[in-house]
Amino acid sequence: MRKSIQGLLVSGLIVTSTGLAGCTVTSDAAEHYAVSAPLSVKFEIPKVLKADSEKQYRFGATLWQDQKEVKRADYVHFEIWKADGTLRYSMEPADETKPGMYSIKKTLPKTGLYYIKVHASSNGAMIMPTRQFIVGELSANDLKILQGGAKPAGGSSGHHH
Amino acid sequence: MKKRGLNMNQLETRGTEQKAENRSAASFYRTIWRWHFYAGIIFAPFLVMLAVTGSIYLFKPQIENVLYQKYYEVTPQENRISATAQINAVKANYPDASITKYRPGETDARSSEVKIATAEASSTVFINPYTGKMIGELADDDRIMNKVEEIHGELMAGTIGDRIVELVACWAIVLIVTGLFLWFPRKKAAGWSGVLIPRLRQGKKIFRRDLHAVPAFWITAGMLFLILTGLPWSGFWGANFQSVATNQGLGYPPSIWGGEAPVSAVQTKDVAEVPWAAETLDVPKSNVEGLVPASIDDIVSIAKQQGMDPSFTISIPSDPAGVYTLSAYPAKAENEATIHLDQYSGAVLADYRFDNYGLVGKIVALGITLHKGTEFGWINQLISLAICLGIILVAVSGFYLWLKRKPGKGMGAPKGPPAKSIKWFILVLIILGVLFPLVGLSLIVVWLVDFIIIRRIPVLRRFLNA
Repeated sequence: MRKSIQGLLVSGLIVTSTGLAGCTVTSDAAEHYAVSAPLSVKFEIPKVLKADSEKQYRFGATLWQDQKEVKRADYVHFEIWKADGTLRYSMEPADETKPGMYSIKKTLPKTGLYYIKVHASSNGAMIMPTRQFIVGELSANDLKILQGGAKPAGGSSGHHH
Repeated sequence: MKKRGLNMNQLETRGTEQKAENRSAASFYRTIWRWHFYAGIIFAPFLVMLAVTGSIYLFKPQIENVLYQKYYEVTPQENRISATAQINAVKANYPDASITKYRPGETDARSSEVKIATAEASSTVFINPYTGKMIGELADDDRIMNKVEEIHGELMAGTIGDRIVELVACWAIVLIVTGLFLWFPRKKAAGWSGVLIPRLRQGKKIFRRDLHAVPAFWITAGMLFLILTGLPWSGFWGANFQSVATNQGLGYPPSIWGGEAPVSAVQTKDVAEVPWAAETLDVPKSNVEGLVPASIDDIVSIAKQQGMDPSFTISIPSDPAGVYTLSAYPAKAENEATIHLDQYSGAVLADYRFDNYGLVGKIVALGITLHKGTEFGWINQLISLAICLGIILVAVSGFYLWLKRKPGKGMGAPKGPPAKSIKWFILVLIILGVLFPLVGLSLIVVWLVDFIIIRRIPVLRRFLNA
């Protein structure tokens, strides 16, 4: 009797211990909880080889959510500035030129490193990605800014809405 | 048999007609007593240690407020300088450290904190958010409360310590169950004396027994609560329990306790590279053109927009696919939040509030704030302190009881009965062993030691009354 009880005890415990040990959170566990539908943006930036104070370049942003283009977003605002702070187009609303595609037109009168930032919101979700682009060539100062790792003469934070 | 558990021989000399039945009852009682006895002697020192460190850690908020007042307090001014500027100031002073976290501070009079890490250690740099000046640096290793927590959670012995604490917690449950059985009044008309109230005038022996058993009963519920709310923290049982709960959709959402945070949904080719090594201007344009990480200032404003508790901390991603994580663990579990933000766009990839936890997760989270004494403020702290002091009293009085009753030779343990007569007790042990595998493992060890060593060495056998 004693032997068999003890045998049962030992084998039962080994089974449960090994069964429990090494149990980890599975990769699809998140699906059981609140799932977010983040917005994302696909930028369209013109390739500009030479600075030009006359020509209007079109900057576009296609807004995505749940693998669908987002039409009639709550707002889509653009801002563009030069890294060295010598040029700045402050935040302004973009036009929905195609369904889900928002754009503005701007001139690029100086060569060097630029930033474009999109502030967009739809269905309570909000994003504000920033993209780096170059008109013509980088200056020595631009390179220093890039290597500094910091983002100088930054865009505006958050949103005024 | 006037007093329970005082003299087993009295039980056995009672009337013949009930003898067999009484033997079995007495044998069962003796078994319980024996287990309670050995488990108590082995684990009481650890329980005292847990209760002492727990009592101190309960008052962590007050203690740290006094200790670190010079780091915490700032004089509010009109304009704050940006989070980016604050972090850049820290970067300039600690060029070799990586910045891992930023905490803006929950009130206007609170400094902001930048967490830095080097290969050797990590520390917190406190900054005046109005001037950008560094107030001071506090190494994690120098935080007294971290040491107290380390003793409480792992005896300062890493994983082995963690397992020992877990074992102590599990065995404390065995002590509670067996103790309750020994305490339970077996004579119906006995009244409350010696059960709910200690008997003061019936001699030292009785008073010593009551000094252990009566307060033990009073703190039982609180002690069990502290054990059960502490167990989900443990490295073995807790980690597995939490993983199972999370996988079933019942626990914490992934990344809060176990499991991975989401990743920033960006392809590497879309991310701007930093031309660190390049000294000439012919950096490939396509490498530089791309997305840049959102600034900390953006993240701070998103956090406010999302309604994070003002005590939130921002964890800064360390690789291109990482996310910014906003997390807040304020005093009340209901205000907890963890939000993962895309490193580049600031998009909310996952937003986990208390309401999004599964039922088990909610219970565990609430258990944690109650265990730490923060959920209901000072009342919570005082009740928990009373339980801790009670545990110390019970452990010490139990030890004292043994010292006083112990015969000159031997341990003084009740004799172990044959296994046959206690099959119910063995069944309970098996269940406990299955629920808490560490208890099970220790049971196997106890049995092996008993079987291989103690039963074969007559001196030991006599000493332990096996």
